[in-house]
Amino acid sequence: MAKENAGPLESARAGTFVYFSDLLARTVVDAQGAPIGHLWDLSIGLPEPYPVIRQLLIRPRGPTDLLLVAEGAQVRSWTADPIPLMARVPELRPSRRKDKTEILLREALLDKQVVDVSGAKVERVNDLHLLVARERELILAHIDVGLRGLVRRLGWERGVDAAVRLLHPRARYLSEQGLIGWKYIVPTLADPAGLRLALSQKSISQLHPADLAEILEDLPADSRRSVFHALELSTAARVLSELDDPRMQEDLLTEHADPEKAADVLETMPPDAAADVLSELPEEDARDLIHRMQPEDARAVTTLMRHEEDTAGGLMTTELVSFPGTMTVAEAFEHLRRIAPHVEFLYQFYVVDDRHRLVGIVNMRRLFLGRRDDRLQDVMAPWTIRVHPEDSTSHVAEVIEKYNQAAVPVVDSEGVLVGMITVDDVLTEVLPLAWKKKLRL
Amino acid sequence: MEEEAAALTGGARAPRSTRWRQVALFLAVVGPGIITANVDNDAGGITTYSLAGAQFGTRLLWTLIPITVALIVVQEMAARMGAATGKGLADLIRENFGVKLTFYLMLALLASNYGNTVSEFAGVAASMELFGVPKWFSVPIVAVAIWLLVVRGTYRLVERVFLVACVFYFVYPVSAFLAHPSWKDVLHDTVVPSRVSFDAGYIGMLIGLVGTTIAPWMQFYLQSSVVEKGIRKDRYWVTRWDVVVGCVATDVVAFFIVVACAATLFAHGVEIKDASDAARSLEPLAGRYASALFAFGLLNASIFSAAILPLSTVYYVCEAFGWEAGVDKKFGEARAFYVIYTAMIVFGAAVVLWPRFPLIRVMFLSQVANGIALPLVLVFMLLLVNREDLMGAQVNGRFFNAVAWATTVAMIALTLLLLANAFGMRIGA
Repeated sequence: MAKENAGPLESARAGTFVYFSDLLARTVVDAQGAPIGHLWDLSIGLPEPYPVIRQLLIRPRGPTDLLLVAEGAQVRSWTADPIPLMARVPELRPSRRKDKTEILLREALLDKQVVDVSGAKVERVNDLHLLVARERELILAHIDVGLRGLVRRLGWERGVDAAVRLLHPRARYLSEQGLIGWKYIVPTLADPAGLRLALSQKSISQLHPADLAEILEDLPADSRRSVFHALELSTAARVLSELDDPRMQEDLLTEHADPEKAADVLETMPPDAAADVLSELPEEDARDLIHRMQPEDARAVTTLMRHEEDTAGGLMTTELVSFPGTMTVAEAFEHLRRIAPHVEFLYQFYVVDDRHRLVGIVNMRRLFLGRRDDRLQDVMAPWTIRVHPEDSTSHVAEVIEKYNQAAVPVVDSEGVLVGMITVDDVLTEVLPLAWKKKLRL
Repeated sequence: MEEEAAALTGGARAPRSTRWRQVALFLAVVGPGIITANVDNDAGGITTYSLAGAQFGTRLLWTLIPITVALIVVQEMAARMGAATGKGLADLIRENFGVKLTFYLMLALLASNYGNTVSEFAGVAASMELFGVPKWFSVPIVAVAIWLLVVRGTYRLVERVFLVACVFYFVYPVSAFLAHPSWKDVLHDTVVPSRVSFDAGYIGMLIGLVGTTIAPWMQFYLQSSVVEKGIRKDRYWVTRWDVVVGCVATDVVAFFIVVACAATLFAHGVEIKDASDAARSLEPLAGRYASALFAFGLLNASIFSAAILPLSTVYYVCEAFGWEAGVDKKFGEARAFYVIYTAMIVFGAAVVLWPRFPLIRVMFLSQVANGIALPLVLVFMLLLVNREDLMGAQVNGRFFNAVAWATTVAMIALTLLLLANAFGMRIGA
């Protein structure tokens, strides 16, 4: 994918690569060969996977803040130094506020942090690697995050290369390019509209939410906010519950440009996760967000939040599946098929009476083994295993471990089914792994 | 729904943990300023203030008020930049001034922070020698312990212990009072600059005082801690107070160290040649235990800063160059981070082991180097904090710009004066 460095630029032909830092060192001349000024910046269209350079910003000589704009199509050759234009100076216009769908390479990318989707990492851009296609077309191909890019920017590439070649010809420094394809890169722009465009193009939503959460943790606060706010609702909800740091969760919710959207994210989360996040927020912010949620979701969340954090009630979710005992296996399957897209945990279901008291447990295996016309009260197992909302987290863990369950129902003193605790919720409570991260400087 | 939310977030039915959470939240926001202030009084700080009192009596006290104002202005700028941009100082410098400037600035800071690290280990050596422990024994053990504490990620737990041990600084005011200085002179010299001199010793001490109080590396550390804490703009006022209180506390401690040393050492014409001399400033309070008390305080300050300084240095160097950093990363993932961090500690400790290494002198000189490097960092900070595209409405006001630029110019002038002086002296001799 990544070719060797293009070498001396004068001899480079069409189909070769050129570094942005090399281009920035060049002057731009007009159709007559008279110098206009230094190349200052280049712009690309955001949503393109192989973006062609659209415009050049030229900084004229002398003490001026004015930048002149030339179209990419006006360039006669990208490989020549100085860069010859086919236009004359009067045809160039001064730069105005740029178009939202375009980004400036120097301003938005060079020296900035970007997200590398292929490696699920945050990287700092040392240089950009551009492909000269057909002499007159310049395409942004890679970003350079390598040590060599850094050395090049310092102006020491030749010296350091020679020294390394002399001392250690097989050094990784010489063979490793540190280039990442542009199609895997998501810039971290301050402008959320531009970012949304960039995100829609990239495979960021295909990253696992846990990876995405780790990327967000590595980003500076403003980029973290803009990336988070540009995510799709369902992705945002899962990422939010994967974040380890409550302060970060708080920041992402309360600094949300649109509080209604923040409430939507909470609605999309499983109620227990939403309750966990909300209970870490300052009272006022939490109250405000709860008021903005759908009444139904808000009720589920507030019920959960009444319980102490380290009890079964604080751990449980109210999002569970329960059936009347008179329902048949076939009807149950039909119901499950309908709700499957919206429910997180689909392995254990509860049979309740008309006053929502727990009478039995049905898991997937029992459903599969039952005949179509069997009633659930005939295939269910009696409920021997359950916890009380006031039980401690460690007790819940013991019960789940002892009986090898994937989940355990939470039942109050009157026998009413109030919630369910799944094994993964217990795991996060019991494993001490989360706090090692919190200690990080 | 309404009453549910009300019951949940306020009133008697709220779970007991909510109130504690509010306290915790407050403590979470308070902190960067106070911790930075305490790290500020490190081995180099204690030594420099002691030397200032011992050599010049109360003559330099007048500098503390302008230094405090400058310290508050500079630290507040760093904290505000952290809160407004959500980025560390090294981050901002790299993004706005490019690779070249960043590289040379980082090189200069790496050098000056290495000097500071050496001075922290010199503090360990000096204090342990007061307990009769030779430095070839104490320094390697402390170095390894710090390396392990930080890399194993347990440092944060121990940090609180160090912070509590900082109450040690209260012994200086007590000792100062018990030494019965002439408070009239002390007050006079605090408010009115008198017997100002232009010789190299005086100027050097002045630069050292500024350098140890407004250390360049602290600004990076403070800004990063503010970012790390994720302090929100609407809660920034808490941080502002945190910074102001921290700065004032730092300089109150500095004031009493100078007064205590002036009233004991200077009054009896004692020159500080090693740590045991500096410890005698605590004799009015602790009598024959003075040396043990001083040793304890110096050791705590040295280890506290030796744990934070190399770590924060390597963090911001990696931040600037986009290298992976963090003690939760494996060695293979964050090679540069571990190599630079380990090198800072190993070479910082190794130099101190040199026979007849001038501990006190190095602790002092590293602070003078801080003072000389300060304007460099201040210029970058000023250029950044005045950019509206970065700071929005939180750009510097006129007063802040005036104080910060005045500090920058003053430090450059003092450095030139010191150089001219040293040069002149050589020609004279």
